[in-house]
Amino acid sequence: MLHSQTGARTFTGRCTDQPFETFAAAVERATGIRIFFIPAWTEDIRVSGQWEDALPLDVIQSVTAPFGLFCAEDGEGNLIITRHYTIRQSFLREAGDTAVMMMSDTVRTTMQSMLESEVITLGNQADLSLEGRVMLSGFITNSATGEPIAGASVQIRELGTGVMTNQEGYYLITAPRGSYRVDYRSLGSHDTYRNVNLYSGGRVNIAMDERIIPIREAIVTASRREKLDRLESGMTRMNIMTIRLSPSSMGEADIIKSVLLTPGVQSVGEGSAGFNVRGGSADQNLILLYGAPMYNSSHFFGFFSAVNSEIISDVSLYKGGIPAQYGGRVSSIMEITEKDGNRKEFAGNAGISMLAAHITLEGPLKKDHSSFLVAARGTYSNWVLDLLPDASVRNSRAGFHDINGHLVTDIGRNTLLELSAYYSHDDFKFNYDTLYAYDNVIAAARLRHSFSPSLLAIFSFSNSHYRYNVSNTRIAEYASAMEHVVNTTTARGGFTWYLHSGHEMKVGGEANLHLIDPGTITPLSPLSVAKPRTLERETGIESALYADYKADFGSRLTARAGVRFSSLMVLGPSTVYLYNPLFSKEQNTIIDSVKHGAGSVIRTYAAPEIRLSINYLLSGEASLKVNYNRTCQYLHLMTNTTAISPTDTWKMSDYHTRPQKGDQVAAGFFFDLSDNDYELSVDGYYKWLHDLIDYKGGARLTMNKMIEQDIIPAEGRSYGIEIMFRKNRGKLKSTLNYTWSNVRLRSTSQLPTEVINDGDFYPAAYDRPHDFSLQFNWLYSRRLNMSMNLVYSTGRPVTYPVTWYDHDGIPVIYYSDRNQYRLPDYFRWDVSMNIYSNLKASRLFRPSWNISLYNVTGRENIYSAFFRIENGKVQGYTLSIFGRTIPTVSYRIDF
Amino acid sequence: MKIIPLISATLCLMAVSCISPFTPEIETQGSYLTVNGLISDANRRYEIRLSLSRPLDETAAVVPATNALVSVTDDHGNNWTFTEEERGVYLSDSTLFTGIPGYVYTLRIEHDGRQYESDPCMLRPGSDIDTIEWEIQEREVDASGKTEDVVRISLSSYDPEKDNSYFRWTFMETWEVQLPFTMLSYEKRVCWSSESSHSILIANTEALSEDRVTDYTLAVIDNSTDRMQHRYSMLVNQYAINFDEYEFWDNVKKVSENTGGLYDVIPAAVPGNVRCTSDPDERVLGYFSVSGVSTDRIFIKRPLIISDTYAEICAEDTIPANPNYPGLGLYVWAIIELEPFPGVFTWVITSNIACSDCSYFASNVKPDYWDEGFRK
Repeated sequence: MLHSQTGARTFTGRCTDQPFETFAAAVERATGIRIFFIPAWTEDIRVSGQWEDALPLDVIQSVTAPFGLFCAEDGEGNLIITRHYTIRQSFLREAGDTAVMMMSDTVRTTMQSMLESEVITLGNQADLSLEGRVMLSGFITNSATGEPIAGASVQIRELGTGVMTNQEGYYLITAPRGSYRVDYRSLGSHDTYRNVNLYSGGRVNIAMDERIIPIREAIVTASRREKLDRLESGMTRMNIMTIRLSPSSMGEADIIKSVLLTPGVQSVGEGSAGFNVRGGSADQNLILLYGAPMYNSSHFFGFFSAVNSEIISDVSLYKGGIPAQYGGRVSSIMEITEKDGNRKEFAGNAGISMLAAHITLEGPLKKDHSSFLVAARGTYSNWVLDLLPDASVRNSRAGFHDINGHLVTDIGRNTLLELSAYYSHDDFKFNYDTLYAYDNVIAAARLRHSFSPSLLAIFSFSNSHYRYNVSNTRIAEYASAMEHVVNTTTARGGFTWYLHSGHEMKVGGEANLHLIDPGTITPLSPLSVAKPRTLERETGIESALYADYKADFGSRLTARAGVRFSSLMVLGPSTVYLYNPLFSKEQNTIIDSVKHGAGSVIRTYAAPEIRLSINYLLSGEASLKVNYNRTCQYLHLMTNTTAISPTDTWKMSDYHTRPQKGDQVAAGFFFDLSDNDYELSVDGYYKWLHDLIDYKGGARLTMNKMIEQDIIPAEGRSYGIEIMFRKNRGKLKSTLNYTWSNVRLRSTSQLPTEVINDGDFYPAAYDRPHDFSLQFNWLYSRRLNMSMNLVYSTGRPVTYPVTWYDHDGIPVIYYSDRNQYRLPDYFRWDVSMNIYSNLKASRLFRPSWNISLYNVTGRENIYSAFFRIENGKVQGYTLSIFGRTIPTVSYRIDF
Repeated sequence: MKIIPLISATLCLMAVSCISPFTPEIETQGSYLTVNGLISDANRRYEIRLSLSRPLDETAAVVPATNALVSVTDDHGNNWTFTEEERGVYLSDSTLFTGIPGYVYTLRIEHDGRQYESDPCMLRPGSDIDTIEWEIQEREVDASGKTEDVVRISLSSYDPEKDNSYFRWTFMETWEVQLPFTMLSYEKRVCWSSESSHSILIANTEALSEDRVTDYTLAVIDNSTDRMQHRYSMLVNQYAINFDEYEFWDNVKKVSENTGGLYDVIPAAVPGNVRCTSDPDERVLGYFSVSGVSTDRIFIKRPLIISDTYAEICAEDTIPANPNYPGLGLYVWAIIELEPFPGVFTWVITSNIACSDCSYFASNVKPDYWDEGFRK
């Protein structure tokens, strides 16, 4: 070669995470050549890699090509970087056999830039004249870890058609025979492309390079094509990097707090467990961890989510257009995609914040074939309680910990086995008195198998166990514990069949065995007079079969139609009380009781759930999405408090309690402006909620064997518009969300004692008509970035009293019309800063600091209002929490 | 639920939650007929009080519901009429009517042209109070570890027959008051204060294998009152109530204990057991209670915890006796007249009338059970 005659002209070295400018200077020094470029083009480029006696052109080209830059060499060996055009040279370095390769069903992963400059020829050019379309398929994986990349987009530039990879990273696209450029894009990876001569069907596997510094992800929640092509108008995907960069309240990255910043998601207030999606109650969200349902998703009364952010790769929230393979809750599905362990090398991290510490370890069990990831997190918050002035609080205890283990292994070429386990525990004790404790335990095994390139299957078997226990041992005569247990065993099987380009079919089913022990009381001392008591166990089989077909009609229109046939069989043994239908269900309106034996079917509920989605590409920059979906819910959380409380119990639909149902129509526009520098989406929805559960005043929800007497039927409707605007590029990235919504509920009973607000529609406790959030992420330098959130929303509705009276010296406040008033508006401003103290990969430990200020303005946002009788009149009080600026610092090392 | 203080505490540690008063602007207010009545198996005049519920934002006197026709019927065909002896207070005739356990009673009211009726309520037999006990406890005052003594009065009750699962207690406290001025006459210096309970005291034994209530706290008395200075007595009424009434009190308790915490129940109307039969949409508040009652009294005789109540409120001074002293009888009161020198008269005065004569705030008639009770 011309320019590599002397050793000085080649480059040897390694680097990690260097900005391009620094790297280029290093190359210049090592080789004596000069490199010309415009810094603005390379600001996003971080260089990682290792080279030995490499040609400068190869080195620089490999680095710049993924960013769409071209590199050429002048006669002296100096390099010139260009954008949008190549410098033609009389001497073409690549020629001959290496540039055109015959490929069949082989896997190739080498440096992207080399691959991008090549032309892959599938089949024989002579086939070009044959009729019909051919298939291009393959797997997309992460080049560093070997993990499949789901949701990556594959697009044939010349045809404007595209598909997305499935959970296994598999894609399949059909096209007329011809020569194409195929673009591959994925969130969190560098875009890449291949030039393909598609003469017959074949497979092209892609290993995409991870983008090293997560800055580009800072606010991006999904890649561009993915959003344009996506069928659902109401789906949000959040990368864990996004979550980690945004300000946190307690120095702990938190998925649920981050989801609350996205449009259409609300909560009753800070520090409350649960969230509300598009007007649904908090129990209408299914949270799937390792494919199994989580029944309590929070630690520490709701201040933290129960899932350690270290085990998460990304989080998908389906608010609308829920695909047919998901179901079981009315409002949303939140699927946590866990991180697979690193298949190449051992790695880990550890961190410490004001309240908790965590450690994560991952690595290969057998290099490139199997990996593990274990993570543990625990709090040491009790020392904080000791600082408090109130003696009763100092005698209190509160703590949590959680442990995750995840193992992934290949079995042969086409099968992947995942084994996962999760355990979380919380306990808190008030004044050496009552101890509250709860646990989540999940164990799951999943098997993914590809029968053929176009037929993939996934089977899973999991068990999710949730238990809480309230015990009191202060007085020996009363020492007792009350326990509530929910146990769900799930078996699932699903097949995805890629028929031809853009056409895919999914069929599958699931069966869940639910065992709910509503309550058990056990005496805890020999002296105790507590009567052992166990409420009848609720047993049921919730099952579903689904089929879903997705098709492209031309290059612009994609549609999907699915049906999920779900059912619940309520099984004995159980005693069912029958009531006089003319009266409210009460003790004295029972007309009969029927005993059902073990295994007998007491009642079966079944319903088809229709799911329809249409995506129409208006242009290369805009798409229109329309969805309809019906959802059914057979498990309900019994709660009559404003926020979900740790002692709320789960209940299955039974003879009296019907399944909750929801119907939603949604439509949205998605715009991709100025080559993905900006994006804008506008979504609207209307939702009908049927057979909701409400409660009579002062209902008893624990240890109540005839809970139907305290339940009243209700319905709801909700509608809203969600607008999101986002700037994706540059040093300053930002997102602006605005939601306008309306949630109204009403009790549907005809009986006067079962009616709330005279049977009129009233606002739900989480109805916040205006909800606005603004997020900024500013990359000041590669070692420092800053983020900030601004949040505004309308105050939530509250109930005020109507009158009061005095009964035996006890003032009694009488409340009547629910939620007719509102708390003042909510506003909060948070800032945070991430400092990376060392970016060199050669260093064994890479520490970083996160400094957050939560509620910078110290505004006393009002959480709730309550009333007391004082001096012969009703005095109102407001409670605000987080009413001042909370600084937190957390420290983390990666290794 | 006890976790509420813990939650507030947790909020404190993380940020400090804060509570501030506000004046809500309430557009819709109501005034409804309110029933407060009780019949039992004790032979006494039963009282049904009828009034209208009160406005929220202003201190107003109770408006009695007068000229109502009030009667109680049982399931054995008897009917007793109550007579209005005080505005809004209707009383039965104890020579004619005493409740019988096992009978079912219904209250009927006619007021302002409308008919009201209670749910039929069965009178449950009362069970005896086992013991009422008191003890001195140390209570931490603040984080420095400083403690103060408080008196805790508790009750235990046991019904071997397991008839009742729901209990409610009320009590009446009576205590001796002695003004610190020995020169006062006995009638002005020593009195007896009485006060009835103001909290909802209920318990249920449905989850227990026996009807046993152990160590139930009735009251905790600290040195902010003068109750424990001299002699103290408490009369406790134990009512064996119906499940419905238990639920009523439990709900009232839940709603009135709302502190704005995360797990407060959503406030809701607490329905009573009286309905308007002529207009089903009309709301009726309050409760008609039918229950078996048993009573017991405790006497506590030693001075227990020292309160400085009087030192704070009874500032004293001495002035030349002068009937024209400005503000006399208005801001200052003479406690006693002294004659330190012959012909020189001075008054010991106080700025608080109560310090010159305890009968201004308590009764100077000794209760008839007093001496005998403390002799034991």
